[in-house]
Amino acid sequence: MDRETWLLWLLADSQLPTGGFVASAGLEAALQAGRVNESASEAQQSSFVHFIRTSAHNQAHFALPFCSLAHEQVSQLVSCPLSGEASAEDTVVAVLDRLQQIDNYHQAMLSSNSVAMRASVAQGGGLLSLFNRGYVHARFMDDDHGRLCAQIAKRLQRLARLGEVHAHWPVVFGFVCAATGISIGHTQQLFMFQFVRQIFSAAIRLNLVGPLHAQALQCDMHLEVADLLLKCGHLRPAFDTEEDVFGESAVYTDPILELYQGMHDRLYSRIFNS
Amino acid sequence: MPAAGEGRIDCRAIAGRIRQTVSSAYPLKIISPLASSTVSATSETTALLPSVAFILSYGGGIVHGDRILVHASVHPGCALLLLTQGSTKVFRQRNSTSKPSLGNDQTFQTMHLHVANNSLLCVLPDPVTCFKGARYNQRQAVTIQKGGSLILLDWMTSGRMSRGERWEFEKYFSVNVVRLEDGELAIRDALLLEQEQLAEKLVDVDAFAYLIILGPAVEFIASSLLEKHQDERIRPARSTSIQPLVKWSISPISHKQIQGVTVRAACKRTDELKLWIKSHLEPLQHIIGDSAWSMYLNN
Repeated sequence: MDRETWLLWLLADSQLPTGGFVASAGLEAALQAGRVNESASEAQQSSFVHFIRTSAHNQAHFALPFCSLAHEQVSQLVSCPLSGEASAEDTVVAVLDRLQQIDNYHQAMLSSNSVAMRASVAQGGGLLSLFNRGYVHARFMDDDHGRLCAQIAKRLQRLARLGEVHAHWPVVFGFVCAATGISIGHTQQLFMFQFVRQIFSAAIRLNLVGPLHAQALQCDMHLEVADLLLKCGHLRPAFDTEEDVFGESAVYTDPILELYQGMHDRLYSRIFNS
Repeated sequence: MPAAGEGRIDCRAIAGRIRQTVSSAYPLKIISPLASSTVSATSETTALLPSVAFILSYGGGIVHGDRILVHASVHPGCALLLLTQGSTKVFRQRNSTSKPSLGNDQTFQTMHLHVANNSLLCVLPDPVTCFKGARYNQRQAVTIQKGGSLILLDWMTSGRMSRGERWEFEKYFSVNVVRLEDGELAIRDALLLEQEQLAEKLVDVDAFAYLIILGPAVEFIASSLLEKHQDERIRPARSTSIQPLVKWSISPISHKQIQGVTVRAACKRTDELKLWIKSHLEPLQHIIGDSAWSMYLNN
């Protein structure tokens, strides 16, 4: 069995300690607002299914491109052959610089949804901590590539503590997968899988769907996500020119979803943080 | 002489009076109702000299293949209010068999907006209405200096509801970008709506809006909205209390040199949303003066 597969299963674990379980991706707010029907009966779940589909569609267009770009940039920059101390430092600086640009662009896009921004930073920070205190110490990371990525991650975390980088979830996710040698294709699949899985976990806790039936619905989401990956897998946020910024490389696709998520802090009683 | 579909608005204060210059070329028309500075500058007691410009299109709408480009600059000491007359209607492609991927098959409206220190720009158009089959792209790029203020409203309705047309356009893509003086990007809001699943996403909504409120001149509006939102509650759907007509969320913007909020609001009825927006922007009256404000209010 190859290491990449083993790592994918580790990262796909719903018990992954990144604090993702406090986020409902707007489901709790949509539920309380009546956007998603409360009934747990299978016949009336169409509003919940619609919520999952539109959320996944949004995520694939909004966040996935950032994950893809971070992965790609890190892989490219780190894979250049190293010779001596000077170029290792150069590589670290170059990667950090690039990650910071990507992260800042994502920040500008999240500026109109402070709830989603908060969730993204919290989860990104959680994953970065996990990488720095967990994966970095795994034996397979004890090579040039691994040590370089460990340096990058350490500095990234320091920059995050100083408030110089936000460490948004999709950017950190892309970095961590590239650093642990996961291919970009699998990274994108995992990114979407765990997003959908997180919503289902939230739905079960909110008593919207039973845990057994949730498995069936989650199976059904496979084709939907596969389709989205085909459609959005090639997208990379572009921000060098004005035409880039006016372009469609990273967009959100559901304004009402954004609106409800933004209202999360006005929930009278809630179990999720976002 | 501007190119086809292009227009310019420049607003500056010269010797205590407002000087507004506008130019435009078919199919775009920009008109300035406050003919000269004498009307408002002497009678109002506003700190900023107000001026108004209406951005219109011939035929009352934007036809496929149109490329509208507006440059507007507001200089220190001035407040510029940009309005439209009637909703911006976007018509569908004339030849329904043409391939959708060609550039001239889509409609573009671009605004480059420059806001100087100690000035205010209010972009308060009527909503966009995309008709069945329309493919529309809209961009607003703002550069704002420290000390500058901005109110930008970007909103749309579901279609020609009287014809039973709701959310039947092919594509709507709107980007709002706010950059600081040094080029740094503070806000990028990019919404892409395509026909697939559209009506489902917007099942209870016939109008929704995105509003940016930034800068010292409108700080009061931003903070009172933040305060009002604290009183909003998402009521459980099964509760007997009446659901509010306008659902809205607010996000504070605190980015180095610029402070403010962005708001998202949605409603089943356009007229309700219009009233809601106008009532929350009411303090603007004291900033831009009665004549400019009444042009917006009665629009």
